[in-house]
Amino acid sequence: MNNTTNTATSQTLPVYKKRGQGAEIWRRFRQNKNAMVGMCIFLVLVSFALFAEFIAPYDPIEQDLLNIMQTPSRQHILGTDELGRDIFSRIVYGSRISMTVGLIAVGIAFVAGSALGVICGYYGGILDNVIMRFVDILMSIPAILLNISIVAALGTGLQNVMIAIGISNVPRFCRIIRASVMSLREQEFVEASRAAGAKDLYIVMRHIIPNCLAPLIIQATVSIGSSILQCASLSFIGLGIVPPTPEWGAMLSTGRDFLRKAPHLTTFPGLAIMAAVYAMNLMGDGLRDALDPKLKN
Amino acid sequence: MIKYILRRILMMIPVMLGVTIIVFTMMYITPGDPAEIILEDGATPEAVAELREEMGLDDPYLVRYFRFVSDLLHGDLGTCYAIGQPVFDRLVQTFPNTMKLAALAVLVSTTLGLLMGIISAAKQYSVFDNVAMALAMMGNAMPNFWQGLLLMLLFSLWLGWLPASGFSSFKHMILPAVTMGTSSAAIIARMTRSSMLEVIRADYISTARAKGQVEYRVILRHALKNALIPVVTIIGIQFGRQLGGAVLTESIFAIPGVGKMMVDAIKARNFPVVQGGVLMIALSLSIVNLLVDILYAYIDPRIKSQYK
Amino acid sequence: MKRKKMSLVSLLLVIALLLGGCGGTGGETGSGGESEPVRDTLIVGMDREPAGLDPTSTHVTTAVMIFNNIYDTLLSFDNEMKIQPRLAISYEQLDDVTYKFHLRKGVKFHNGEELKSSDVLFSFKRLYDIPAAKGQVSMIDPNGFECPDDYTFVLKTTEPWSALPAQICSSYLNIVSEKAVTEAGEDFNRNPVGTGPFQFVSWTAGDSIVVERFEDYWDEKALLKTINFRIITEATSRVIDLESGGIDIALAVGVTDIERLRENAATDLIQFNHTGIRYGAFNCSKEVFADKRVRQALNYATNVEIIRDVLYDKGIGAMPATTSVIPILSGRNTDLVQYDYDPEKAKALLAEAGYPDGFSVEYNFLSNTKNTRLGEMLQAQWAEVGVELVMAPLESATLTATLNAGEHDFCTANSTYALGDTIEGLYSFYHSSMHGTSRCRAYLSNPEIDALLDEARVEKNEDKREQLAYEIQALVHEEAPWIYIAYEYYNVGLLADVQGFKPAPNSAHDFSCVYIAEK
Repeated sequence: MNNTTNTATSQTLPVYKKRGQGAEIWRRFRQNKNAMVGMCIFLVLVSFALFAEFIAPYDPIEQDLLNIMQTPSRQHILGTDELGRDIFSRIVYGSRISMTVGLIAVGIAFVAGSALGVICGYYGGILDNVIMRFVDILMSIPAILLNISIVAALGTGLQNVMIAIGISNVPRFCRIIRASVMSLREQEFVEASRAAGAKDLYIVMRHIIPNCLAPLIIQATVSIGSSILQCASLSFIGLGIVPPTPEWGAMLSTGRDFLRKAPHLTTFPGLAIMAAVYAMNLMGDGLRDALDPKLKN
Repeated sequence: MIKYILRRILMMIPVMLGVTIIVFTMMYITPGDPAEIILEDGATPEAVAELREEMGLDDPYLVRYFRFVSDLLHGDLGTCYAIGQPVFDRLVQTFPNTMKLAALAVLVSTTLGLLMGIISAAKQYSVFDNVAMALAMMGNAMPNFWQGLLLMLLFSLWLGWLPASGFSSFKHMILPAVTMGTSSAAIIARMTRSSMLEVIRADYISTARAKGQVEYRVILRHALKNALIPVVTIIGIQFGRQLGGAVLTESIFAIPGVGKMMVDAIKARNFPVVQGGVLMIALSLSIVNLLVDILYAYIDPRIKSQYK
Repeated sequence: MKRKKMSLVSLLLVIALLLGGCGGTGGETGSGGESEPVRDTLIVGMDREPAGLDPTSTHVTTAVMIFNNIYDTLLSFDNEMKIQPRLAISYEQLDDVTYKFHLRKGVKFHNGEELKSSDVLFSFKRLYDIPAAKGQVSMIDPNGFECPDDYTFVLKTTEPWSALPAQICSSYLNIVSEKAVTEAGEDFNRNPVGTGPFQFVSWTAGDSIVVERFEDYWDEKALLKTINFRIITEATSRVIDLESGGIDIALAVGVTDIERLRENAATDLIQFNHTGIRYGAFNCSKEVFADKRVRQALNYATNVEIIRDVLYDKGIGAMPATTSVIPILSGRNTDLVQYDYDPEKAKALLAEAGYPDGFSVEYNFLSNTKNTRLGEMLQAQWAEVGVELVMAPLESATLTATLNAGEHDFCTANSTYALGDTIEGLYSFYHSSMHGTSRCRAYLSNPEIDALLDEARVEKNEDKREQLAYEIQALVHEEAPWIYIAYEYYNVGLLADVQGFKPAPNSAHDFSCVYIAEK
């Protein structure tokens, strides 16, 4: 572990040769049983999201008001919800929403955070100072409060929820990439490229970004999980996604009003959220081990 | 070292100023009128206009911002729109509760995390390792509000061991602290485990082993100490996360804390409380981060030399 | 090295101590509770924190309840919504606009002062300076007050107004001590002084409001020594707390918990007719809803019966609503029946109104389980007749602003008859002068209804008023600005040993006769 900076992530990743690197990482990743379990869950959820129309036995918003809150049965394997909708179908379709929220929110944080982080790390100076103070400011406001204020300002709905969660994740990405860039900036191959007259943009795209991808990917994986949780929290506060869209957090949050009468309304969406977050965490851990050979056990 | 600390404290000033600008601006652009909310059903257009005038809500952005900052510099955080109490008093009432809760939650997560991490590392690849890590991660993956309700059902209703809500005694704090603590035990456990594993393979551990020291002593004396460094940082970050996590937990367990107060205040456009509360949280987070860095230097003297 | 070990040991010690400490305190409180034969402290779980304890600050149900125990009004409603004397032993109407109140003698405020007519005058006059409360005295002449002696109070209305006695019962017109208000200033909101059976002890914001018995109360003294009103906003938590014995009374119990609390031997459930009606309101000022045929069509397109079955657990939580006047009030038009569920007729009416292919409207609502389910069901039912209901949840502050500005297409609400007067209620719902106020969500502008309301408002003859109310309801039914969903019951959960709780339809529950029975 490198002790020259405060961040505990692995900054001094060896610069791999292009070829064979991916295969090596994959080999290490594959050997990690936990990571593979995580990946299997993840693949199941992704296939839910992609093929929801074929997997879900019912229309997720089709109500059956005469059969509300039915316990699991042969017709409805996970039962029906507070409006008689098939919970399994809603979870399958909900996977699409949760995956979208996770991917887009993290995408926003990834792009914005990386851009800011690269600028800070590569150029340094006043710009770095200003941006980092801004990041400090954002970090000193708890994410959930930031989310609530942003959604309050922009209005509820899927799009604004994703923006809010994305923004509150920016600082973390920015810090990680800044640290990596700072250590890369002084490395010989970057210096060499600069001496050869390469433009900044070229150096950044060609040398800097590819070499600090590892910690970013790990962070992104874990953040997808936490975004899904953040989205659920927003639903709890009543600032989530517009009904009747089947979203796990909203299902869980609505279901809590029926916690005693029909616990299955919360159990299954709750388990779905847990499975997704769990999978992302396991994969994140696996990637960390695979990308950082020093930790290879 | 002292100089470093002073500089860090000075650095907090622009950050806090930035926090006020951001919070103030966000509240400014957010639709919804505090006057309408205060008036409830009595909100006729004339009454709203009159109250807005009285509250100074019609003044331009900059006028309002500078009024807020100048009051702040005079030590006045303003008055809560909802119950007419000075914001400072409200913070004095609520903040200690949230701090207690967050501190207890950190204690829970650190205890659980360290224990699971150490044993997992010592018994790497054993059944315990896998089970402990899986459990820790479950705690992390479970939405807080759901977990809180389930714990309440189990321990308050079915077992009758702990009170379901409120914050008047230590007993009341256990369930919320566990709810919050378990969500971050996994991160600490993972961190402890991997940094312990790294240390265990290091040369001086082999030396210690070779000298015939008992296994647990090796782990405790040599491995843990060095492994603690990254863990301390994580604990600092956890504290910040707990302050955020308190928001939902406080709602579920009816705890009069800052988090619940803030959510209510944002919803009611209770600007003074939002501003005061965020400022207070931001300040305490910065202080915790500073303390973590100092602690860090204390644990690892090598780092101390960098603090100039 | 040693230090490390020490700190670990001390950490463990701290944990052990904390855990030990918890066991200790737990034991003490437990045994303390059991050793006393009868508890004289009641803990009430409330769903909402009042914005203040000054009666002019708010009128949310929980505040009205607490006010009723700290203060008294001159007149008040009993549990059948009949007006009874309270601080005024009697009143007389001198002419069309003048009323004379004879005050009770020897009434003490909590600060020891005696109630004088000057306090009553003060309690009325201060409302004119408070924007939130001004509307309550809009019909009372600010220059018409007189205090001929310490125990007589005279007021004048600006014009003949038959609902004045009902207005006198309003929680805004709770009588405060002039001396206490003048001394406390802004702090009065957190240090209330009234004449009620309980006096204020403490208020911890976000946590609880504590009151204790007032020994010099003019009427029969309260049975309980202390009441702790705790704020537990989460409905699920509130009920769990009741069932685990942490609180004695849980207010605003949800429909799903009714049966369980009834069946549980340790708990009781009291259900009563709230003065509220849940409805959906079309914004008639919007082009699409300006045509009454469209509003009627959507009434036909709505299967209210099944919605009620779902929302209120097959009638456990509410009763069918057929008009906007609640059953407990006089002048309710019982001849009216709900629009049938008839999608074909709805389609025909829509075609007639020029919308053969339907249209799309937004539903603005506060995102909670009830509103969401209601909206989702309406969305599915209206889709059958080609009308698309777009769910547009808003956060509470934005929703208030949108509704007050009349920018919504459709909304739902649960409105109460705060004044407890039929005509005043109808006036606030449907009179075109009320546009932009919180009860008037349909923005109806119908000259005929306006005229009848104006007439009824000044009518003194009770039978004639009822007749007018009858006519107005029939007209409103035809105009169909609302879809009536239900008259909701209000549910209160109690521990089985809590006795004497009598619910008031206007939420002004009286706790003075509540006691905890010996087990």
